[in-house]
Amino acid sequence: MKRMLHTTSVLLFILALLLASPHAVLADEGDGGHQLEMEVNGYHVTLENQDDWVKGENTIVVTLADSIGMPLSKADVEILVTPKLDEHAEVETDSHSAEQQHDSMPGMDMGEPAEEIAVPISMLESDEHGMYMVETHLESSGEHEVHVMFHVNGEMLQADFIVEIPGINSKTVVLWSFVTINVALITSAGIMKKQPITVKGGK
Amino acid sequence: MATELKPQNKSIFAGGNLLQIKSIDRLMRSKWFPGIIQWPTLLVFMVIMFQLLLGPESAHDNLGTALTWVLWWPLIPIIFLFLGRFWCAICPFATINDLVQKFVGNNRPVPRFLKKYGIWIIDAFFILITWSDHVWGVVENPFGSGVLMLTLTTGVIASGSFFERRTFCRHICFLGGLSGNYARTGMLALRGTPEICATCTVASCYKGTEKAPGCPLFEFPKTMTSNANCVICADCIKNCPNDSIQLTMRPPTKELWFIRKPKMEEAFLSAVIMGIVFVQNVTMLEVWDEMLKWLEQAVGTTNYAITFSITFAISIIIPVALLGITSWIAGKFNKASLVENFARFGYAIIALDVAGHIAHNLFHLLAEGKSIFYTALALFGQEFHGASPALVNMETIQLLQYGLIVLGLVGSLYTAYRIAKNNQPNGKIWGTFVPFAVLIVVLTVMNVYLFMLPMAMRM
Repeated sequence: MKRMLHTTSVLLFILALLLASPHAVLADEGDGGHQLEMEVNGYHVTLENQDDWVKGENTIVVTLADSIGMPLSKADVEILVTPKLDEHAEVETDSHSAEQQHDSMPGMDMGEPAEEIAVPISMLESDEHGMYMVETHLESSGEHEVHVMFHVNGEMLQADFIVEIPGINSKTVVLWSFVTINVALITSAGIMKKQPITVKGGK
Repeated sequence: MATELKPQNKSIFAGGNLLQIKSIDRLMRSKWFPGIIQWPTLLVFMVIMFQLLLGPESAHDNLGTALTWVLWWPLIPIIFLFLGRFWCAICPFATINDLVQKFVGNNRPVPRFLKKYGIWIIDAFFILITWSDHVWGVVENPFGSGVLMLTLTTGVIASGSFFERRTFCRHICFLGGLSGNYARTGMLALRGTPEICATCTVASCYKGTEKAPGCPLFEFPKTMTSNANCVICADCIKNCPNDSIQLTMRPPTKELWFIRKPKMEEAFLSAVIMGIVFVQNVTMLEVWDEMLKWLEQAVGTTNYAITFSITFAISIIIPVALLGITSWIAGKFNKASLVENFARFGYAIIALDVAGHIAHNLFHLLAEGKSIFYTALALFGQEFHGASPALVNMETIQLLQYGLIVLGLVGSLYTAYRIAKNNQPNGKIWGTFVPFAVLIVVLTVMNVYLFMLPMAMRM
């Protein structure tokens, strides 16, 4: 019975971990960035990173094709990358929360303060037709919204993606610090432990 | 060995032993209790930790945030009211403490300074954690909440590694201090039967037996007069060779009427909690922004840590100062010192604390309750953008909040009356009671006023 309970608990825990995994798209899989695709008014838009998405310098690549798969060349393509904002940010009325959002989600660094960076940047077409590139600096990790805007026949179309920038951030440092401290505590206690004392607390 | 005296059979509604009911008795004596609840709780806790630390960064999308701050935190004072400190018996931190202790525990005695200043340390931690929540945004930031949990985990691992029993829970845990105070209003009491315990010399309840360990919180049911440090883990029920332990129901707040040795630090904590309920309410109000702007102009800085610290200090000082002034005024009638009155009557406002705490968090539970389902279903790819998280409408919530505050008012007033009566056997009850009654009414009005104003959400 006890063994069954333990086994069930372990299985449930593994299941729970699988279910609880972050559902945002992690863009650091495989060689180079994981490709994200979308159809907009019959046009096929592909977003990827030349390398991995990282906090820092990124080379973003957008590929455009029409409904029959022909590359869309010489288009006017712009891109806007912004940290994903909490949809309920507006209901948080205290300035403290607003201040925190600024702290934790600063925008792309294009030489402007966070409030003024929401300006799309133009992408240049590479040698390959239908492929547009731009280098940009992402200042923070976490979920980002990537808006790809392109003009076709005088009409502006937009494809919106969400990518997660993993980055080596303070979270990793914090987590490993806790792991180290706790392992050190348990190890020290194990070493210092003398002969077992008779029943006195603990379970 | 003790005599064969057995607890009297009375109706459970007249203070009779709940262990007379066979199913409850069997549950309490079962080797699976409280493990059957403790282990699933630990499992859920691990999922919460995983979500907080590695899940979505937005509190709105994080199941860990929803389960911790929208479900658990509002439910916890309600659990204290009905089941005393039972939560502490199944608390995942306590389970981690026990696990670590089992394998590497050195079981050293509790350091003397912790025994001496434990509750003051808890008071300080409670204030510090509440302050840091506002300054660093622990609740609104899943990772911040995760770090708070990791800090507590490190605390229990350190405690379980080196010190005996649940030293952390008894002497350090800020929630333990809060729950200790709240559990005094609780409707469940565990005690030894005096006639049986009087003849007992084995003290298995404290020392432990092969059936179960000794009391994890260092309590001795033979002399126990309070439920502040009883987690109803039932170890003493299993261990007692004389079936002396009784589990009874009692009217809410009853324990507060007969505090034998009132402690200044516990009375201080009850006033601090009132201040913290104020500050929690104030910072959620839609007028908070305007208040903050005014404060920023007054002190000449926009640094939130400074402006909030000032607000926080004022909010805490108000109830402490009011209790101090009232104690001084009452001293004119009952000839007791300010400190004596403060320590004695500080317990009277615990009922209002509990009511204020529940009422405040009722807003989160009922106005944001559906976010628990939304964030849970999001794990399976189901999105509910734009859906209301409210379980009931705001009018209903406010009505319930006022109702709770009125119950808290009645509980506090009656407690103050009973304390006055028990400590003034020679009359002068009203001279002592009236100043405290006025204080309780003032605190109630402040609470009601804050609940009347529109609030912002957590999720």
